[in-house]
Amino acid sequence: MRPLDWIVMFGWLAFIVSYGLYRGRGSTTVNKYLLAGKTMPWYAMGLSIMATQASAITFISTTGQSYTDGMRFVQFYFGLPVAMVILCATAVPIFHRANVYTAYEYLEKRFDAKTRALVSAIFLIQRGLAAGLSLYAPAVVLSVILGWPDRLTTILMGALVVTYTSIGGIKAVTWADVQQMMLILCGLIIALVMAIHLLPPHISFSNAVSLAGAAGRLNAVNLHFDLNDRYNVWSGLIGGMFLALAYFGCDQSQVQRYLTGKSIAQSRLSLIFNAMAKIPMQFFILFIGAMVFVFFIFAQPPVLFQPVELRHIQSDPNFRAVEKRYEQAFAGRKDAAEKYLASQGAPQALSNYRDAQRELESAHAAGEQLVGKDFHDTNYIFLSFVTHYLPAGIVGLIIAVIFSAAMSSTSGEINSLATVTVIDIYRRHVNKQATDRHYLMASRFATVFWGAYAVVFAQFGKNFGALIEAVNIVGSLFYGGLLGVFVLAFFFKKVGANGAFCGVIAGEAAIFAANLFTKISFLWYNVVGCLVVIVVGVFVSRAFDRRTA
Amino acid sequence: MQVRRLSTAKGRASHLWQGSPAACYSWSLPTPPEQPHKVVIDEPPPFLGAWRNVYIFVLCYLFVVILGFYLFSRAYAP
Repeated sequence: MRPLDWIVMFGWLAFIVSYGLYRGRGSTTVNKYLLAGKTMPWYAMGLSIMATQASAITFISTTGQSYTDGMRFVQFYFGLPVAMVILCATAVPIFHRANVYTAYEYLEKRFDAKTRALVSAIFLIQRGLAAGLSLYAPAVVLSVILGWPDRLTTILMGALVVTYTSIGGIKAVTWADVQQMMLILCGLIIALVMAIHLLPPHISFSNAVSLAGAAGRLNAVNLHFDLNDRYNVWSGLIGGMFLALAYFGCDQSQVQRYLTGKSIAQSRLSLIFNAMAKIPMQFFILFIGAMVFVFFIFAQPPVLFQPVELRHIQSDPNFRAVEKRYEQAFAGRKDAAEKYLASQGAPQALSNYRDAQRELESAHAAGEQLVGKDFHDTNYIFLSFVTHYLPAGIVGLIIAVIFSAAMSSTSGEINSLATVTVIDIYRRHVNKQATDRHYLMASRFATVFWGAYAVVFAQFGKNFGALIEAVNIVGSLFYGGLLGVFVLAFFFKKVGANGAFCGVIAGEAAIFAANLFTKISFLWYNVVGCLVVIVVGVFVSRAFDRRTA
Repeated sequence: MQVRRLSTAKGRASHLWQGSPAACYSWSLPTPPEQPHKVVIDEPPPFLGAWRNVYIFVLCYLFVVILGFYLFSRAYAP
């Protein structure tokens, strides 16, 4: 990081906080603070939804994933447009007409208070864990790159987010997200242009795409059906659709975005915008990773992309041997790539190129083994490329993009956590008769509380190690149950409160069982959980619920 | 000028449950007093005339995107 990079990065962070505070002024009632007075246009909601969903890890990991594994991750998003259409036709008009602050408030109107309380509690547990992770995971990577302690990074991000979110409410969050999403898109375009621009002069864009494809990095679609394969068209379309239905239809961090719409039409348009833009955006991010892969065919990458661990293993007696093998493998792959292009794709040249690629991957894995058995440096590939090869100013811009992505996700999360805490718990069960001003202050306090919680959770993140993976799994464990209860609410008129309550519990039990006793991909948990909630909900309701006339 | 259609609980999505409270379940906590029903404006989309057409367009778009990605994968498969 050079002086210009620091200026760009801190200039952007100062701008985003100031802009959030400016746009969030006038949030003087609970309705304005939590729902922006229902005044938001579709494009602001659409970009905010996109920004909230796209965490910093999305950019750091996705590019790295494409570098190592190709573009098949894009299939994860194939179900999203279908889910958006379903939500536009069902959840959006229902939530708007129910005149609610939270999705869970609707559940009390439809079922009863205990179902609302159960689902609210599930949301608070799941999203509360995710809020800490949203700060911690990018902070670890940024700290390594910037040379800061990760505590400083989490505290900086947390303080900035809490400042504009607690004062300006959802209006500040949404408009700040708009700016942050614009910066993210600009940063991604610049990164792709630079990755292609930095290729050797004799390598054209067409050559670069051929090399990426020959190495299996452009494998965007796989039609083979396999329950244990995480990413194929079918898991993406079916599992991805259920996941997107749960995330955009039942998760308050997303529902709250489109509840701020001026009208049902504006809210629908914001989701339609995401339905059409999300897949190309993810494809674009993955394609950047593929181009970075091609860049590193001609520029020798380090044995490890993680600079701190690289310094550690340099004192290992086996390092020199690994490094020598890695350098030879790099030279071999570069030579094989040149010959592959010169032969215009001859089968023997292709075979040699793929063999050379495998040898380089093996040498890199040997370097990772020096750190530890389960160590992978995938998350550092993109930032290593950015910090070592991009010009001054652009590096600061890309680091600002990563900060922006982390902050937009966290702001949305703590805002929605505060909303559920105040509306579904505090106002419903603790203090039912207070003034609007009282609930406004409670909302601000809850926002600060959840922001502080996220920062504190992030401080302890590194002590738990495997907890990060566990938290990711925890997120996928709860969505099926949430989705199931909303499907019951929308489509099964005869199902009553007891059926819904028991259904959620049974659905969650089924998901945990699937996680513990089977090897099916986590994308299918949502399908399993949702179906169990529906079946048990209908059965219990027939047996125990008294029918309304 | 577009004609706005006022849509209530008995509007286009009337086959879906619109939210009357079920207050008499035995395991329930007390429910709050029912809020007056709010009439919400449901506008047509700014393009393609009806929301149904927009949805069909999005699904066709998805099909084209997947097909495009599939052809892209095939074209550059090793």
